[in-house]
Amino acid sequence: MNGTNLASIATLAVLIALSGSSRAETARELLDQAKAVNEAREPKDLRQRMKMLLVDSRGTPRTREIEVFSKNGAEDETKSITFFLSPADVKGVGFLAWAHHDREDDQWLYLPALKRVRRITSTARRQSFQGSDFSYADLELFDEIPDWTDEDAAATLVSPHQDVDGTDTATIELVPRGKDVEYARIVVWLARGDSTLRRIELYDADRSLVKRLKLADFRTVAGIPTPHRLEMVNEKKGTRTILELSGVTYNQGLGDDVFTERSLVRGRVD
Amino acid sequence: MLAATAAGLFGALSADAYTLPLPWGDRRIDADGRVEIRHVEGVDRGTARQRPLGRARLRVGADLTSRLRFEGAVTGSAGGTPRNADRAGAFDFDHSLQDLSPSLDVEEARLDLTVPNLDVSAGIQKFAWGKLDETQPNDLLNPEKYYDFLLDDEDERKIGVPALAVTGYVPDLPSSAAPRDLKLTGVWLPLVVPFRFPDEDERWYPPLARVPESTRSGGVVVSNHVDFRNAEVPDRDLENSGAAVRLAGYASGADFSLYYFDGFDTGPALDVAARAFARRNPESGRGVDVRSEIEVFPVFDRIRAAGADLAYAVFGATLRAEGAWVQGRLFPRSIRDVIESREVGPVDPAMLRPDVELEVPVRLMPATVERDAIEWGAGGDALYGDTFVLLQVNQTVVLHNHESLLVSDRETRFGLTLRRSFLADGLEAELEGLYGMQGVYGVAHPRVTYDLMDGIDVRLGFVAIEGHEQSLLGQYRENDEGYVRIRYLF
Repeated sequence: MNGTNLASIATLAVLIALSGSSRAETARELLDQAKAVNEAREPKDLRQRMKMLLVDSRGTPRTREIEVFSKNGAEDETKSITFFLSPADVKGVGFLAWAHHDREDDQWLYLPALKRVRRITSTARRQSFQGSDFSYADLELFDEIPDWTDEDAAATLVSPHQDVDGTDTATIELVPRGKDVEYARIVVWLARGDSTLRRIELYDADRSLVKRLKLADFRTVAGIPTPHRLEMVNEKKGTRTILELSGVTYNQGLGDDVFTERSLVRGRVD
Repeated sequence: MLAATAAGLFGALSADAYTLPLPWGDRRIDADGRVEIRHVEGVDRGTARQRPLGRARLRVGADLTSRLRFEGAVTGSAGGTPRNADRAGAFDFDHSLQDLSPSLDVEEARLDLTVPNLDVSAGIQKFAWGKLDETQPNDLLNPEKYYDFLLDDEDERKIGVPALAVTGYVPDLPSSAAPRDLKLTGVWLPLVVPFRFPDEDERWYPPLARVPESTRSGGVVVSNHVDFRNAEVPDRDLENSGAAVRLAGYASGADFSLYYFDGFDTGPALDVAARAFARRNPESGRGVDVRSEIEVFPVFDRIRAAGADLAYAVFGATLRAEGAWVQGRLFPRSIRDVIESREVGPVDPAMLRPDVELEVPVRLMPATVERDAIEWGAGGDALYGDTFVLLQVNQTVVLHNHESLLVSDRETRFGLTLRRSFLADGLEAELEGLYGMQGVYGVAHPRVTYDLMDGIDVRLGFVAIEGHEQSLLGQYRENDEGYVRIRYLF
């Protein structure tokens, strides 16, 4: 599993902020153009706070707050460190990941109750991230979709123009080919103005809707259109997860010393 | 209804409420803690009972300057394992037997100085060295409390010790083949701090340290009076201070550490002393009454240890291994065996009078034997589906031993942990198991924890112990118990 996944939930906004104007007529052209823009604008590092509201099928809410730092390094290596801020039972927990392109990721967990840094293995892909409606595989999927080629998925322009919360979008259907993706069909709504993704729907092999992701409250941070509110609804379980992002900063020059056991134990970066 | 009431009580208390700006600059003070109530119900009515435990822990951290920080933690307890507490008060660093309730324990009180490539911590602190689960051969810096060692967490069992710790961080070398994240830690322990042991009337006082009311010695029935008492800790001087060094880093995808320790062993060891008194009693079988006064007390022993550990993730699992060579560790015998093999006398009946007791010689074999040993363990954990599985083996190899000890010369223990969450992490089910191959004993500890709401959880658990009564944990086989714990974290 890609170790950037935990960071991905925070950087989701960046990963799908596929900027650039578009006059393309086909789904593939739209996606390729968005991919090029995304690569050009990919930040070197990111700092972000995230409030996660988990609502179960009975409507009972639970809240998690985390702070994430991540950095793209040399040779496709990505480092991230995550601090859990609340609730009290996870406060002080830290997670450090070094993602490598050629081997399994290195991951460490700091548990303040044990005062011990534990080496851990990459989490099972289809397990829920912190009890949310995002699985680790979902985060990996959102990371990968912009990089998909025709060999990875068949892309069809379903609707060239569709209004999503007042934004003109193109609706594109993706059918993964031969990839280890748990969804048989993925539909994305790509904004024509800034090429950001505004909605994603995930369908199973029976073509029934499993999850729906809405992205909203877009703000431009350091030239990157960044959604500050994401809502994932699990249609099958009747649960939903709302992510509210704050304090988003890019390209602050985070050093490698941020992504170490020392920072993990201290519980902060400064 | 309970959740709604709790929400009303605690709803106003968010984590942010405990982060306050300090009057100087932009530095901050933060605090968190927990309050818990635990009730234990023993299955066997013949074992010592335990009162409900109320316990509160408060941790406070404060940035004094941009580089200097204070960290402190105190725990207050009332009830629990003490049955007839001597008094209320604060725990000290001088005694193993401290029968306090209510009690206050200063677990940490230290200053942390952070400068580039160097951390310095001075004050009362806890360390967590080693990579194995629960039992780490190289985690030798903090003694532990043995009041309720199966239910208390690892950090709750540890006693904070006065120490000076310095960690230097070595900048990474440009070569990708060189170790990364290298750090060297030196720790100085100026005081010998004893482990804390339950009193004789408590639930977890070891049955093998109990002595029968009467035993036979040379055909004579000896009545025993046993007293568990404290012993003087070694002098607080430079010669008795301890020191430890750890070099840790990351190389070829693996975390590694090397350790060296020279100081007093933090593990528990008990010794025994006995006196015997005789007087003439024409009505008794041999015409003599003999009684013995036995004292059980902690003993402190200096050891040296060198070890290493390694952790590596491969094929979706994390593998861990750790070992230490220990020089001069005290290994216990069963105190009951020591007393039952005691030799009293010779007693010359002609010297005895009915109205006067005469002290007679007593010969005891030592209650502990000093041996070198190798402590090692290896294990791994992984996720199978949604279930976390951890397997571990630990072994103690006592070197060059021909004596009968409480542990065998190769004491092997297997541990298993299964854990799975349900209801979006709101319910966690866990099973911990331990099996000792020699002496044969087993412990099973299933439990479920349910989050009533953020910050409040309730746990139900059961501890089942089986095994030979002369074994390390089998001696507690009458101590099966169920428990409930309600905890509020803030």
